[in-house]
Amino acid sequence: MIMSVHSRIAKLQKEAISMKRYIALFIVTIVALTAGYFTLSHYRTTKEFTVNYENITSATLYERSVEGADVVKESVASGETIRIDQVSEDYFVEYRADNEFADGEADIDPYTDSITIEPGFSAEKLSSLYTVEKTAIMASMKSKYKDINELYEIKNDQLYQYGEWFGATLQYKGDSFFNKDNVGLVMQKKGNSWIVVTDPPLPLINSYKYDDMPQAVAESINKQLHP
Amino acid sequence: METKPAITPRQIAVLLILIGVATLVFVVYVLFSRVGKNEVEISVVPIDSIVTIGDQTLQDGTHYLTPGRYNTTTEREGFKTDVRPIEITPETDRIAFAIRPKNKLGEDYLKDNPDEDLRYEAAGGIDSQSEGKARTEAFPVLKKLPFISPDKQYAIDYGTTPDLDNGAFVLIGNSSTRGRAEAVAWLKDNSVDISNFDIRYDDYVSPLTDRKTSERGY
Repeated sequence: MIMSVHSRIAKLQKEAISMKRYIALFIVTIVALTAGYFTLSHYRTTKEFTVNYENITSATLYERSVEGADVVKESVASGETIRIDQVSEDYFVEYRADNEFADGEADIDPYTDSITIEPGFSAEKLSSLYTVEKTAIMASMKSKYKDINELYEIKNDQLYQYGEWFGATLQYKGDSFFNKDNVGLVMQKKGNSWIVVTDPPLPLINSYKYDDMPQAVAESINKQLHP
Repeated sequence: METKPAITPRQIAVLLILIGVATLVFVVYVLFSRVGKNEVEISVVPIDSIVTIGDQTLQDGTHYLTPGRYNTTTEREGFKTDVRPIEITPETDRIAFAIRPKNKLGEDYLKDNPDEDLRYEAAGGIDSQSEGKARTEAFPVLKKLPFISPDKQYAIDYGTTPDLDNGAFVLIGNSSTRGRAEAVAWLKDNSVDISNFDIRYDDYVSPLTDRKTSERGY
């Protein structure tokens, strides 16, 4: 009788230990699945993004936030791959360029997996190139618009990018009452000739309308026209 | 004499635990397969057409799609195959693909299935609604247009065109020189990127290309 009670107790203890083992296994499974879910979720909501560049000494990846911008990764090397959110318009790269090239920022297209940054020439380099090109540019402008010097004063004239883009604002000095707007003029060097891109020059330049025109050219001119 | 039950309580517990784990794995799998994706209702006309979005082949119904840019193909026997790019943003919840008959087989199908007419109308509605929604999401200022300045110096309206990616342009009209400058300032105040949006002038005449008209004003 005593033996029977002992063996029953031993059996119950054994079953209890076994049950504890199953409960432990269940908890471990839940924890593993939850951890796996969050890890995999992270991978599904983010993507690998590669930053490529040349003529740049340092690049930093930022994400815009309500307060301004948060550093995502400092000192991004060319060819480096970073995990960022899948479809976000908030990322941009701020870069410092080598000599003769301009520092700047480049927005990241939310639907691409890489960016290639090619900084334009520095203001000093463009200024020295402009002294060489100015005569040809003015001659081309005058040949396209015969009255230009009579109607407008050319201001803020400068080269952009690698010296193949020219932009200026034209300040009206003629007699028109209805159309005395100051306008923006953009030219592009094709081969050895300077061609007017914004024909006619308008009170606002939008790069959207001109496929090849770098947005920085339009932005710079519009800033002068509409401070 | 003690009879041994067919299934012991321990076996029941093990079974329940296994069912629980299997259910959990299934739930986690379903949840995981939808993470980072949009629930998108895809309407296809005719209803049994096949749509290929990227590398996924889909049919009419609700699907989970990752936001991004895709090339799509919609095809069905007797109908013109439609190939077009689409953009699924995190906000996209409905897309319609409607193709038209190209031969008698397609025309006969529509005659035999008059319900498809209603589906064409619904698809057209979804198309224009989602286009309009995408436009106003991209350019919230469009909700404020048309706008006429209180002193009547300028008016701003917008138009749509399939030539542009975003399908919209802004038109500044009824304006003087001062009005045009104020219109641009108004657009800037309303967060419009003036350098990267198609902004047109209705009544500006360039003195460089038509000096007489620009000075006369008409």
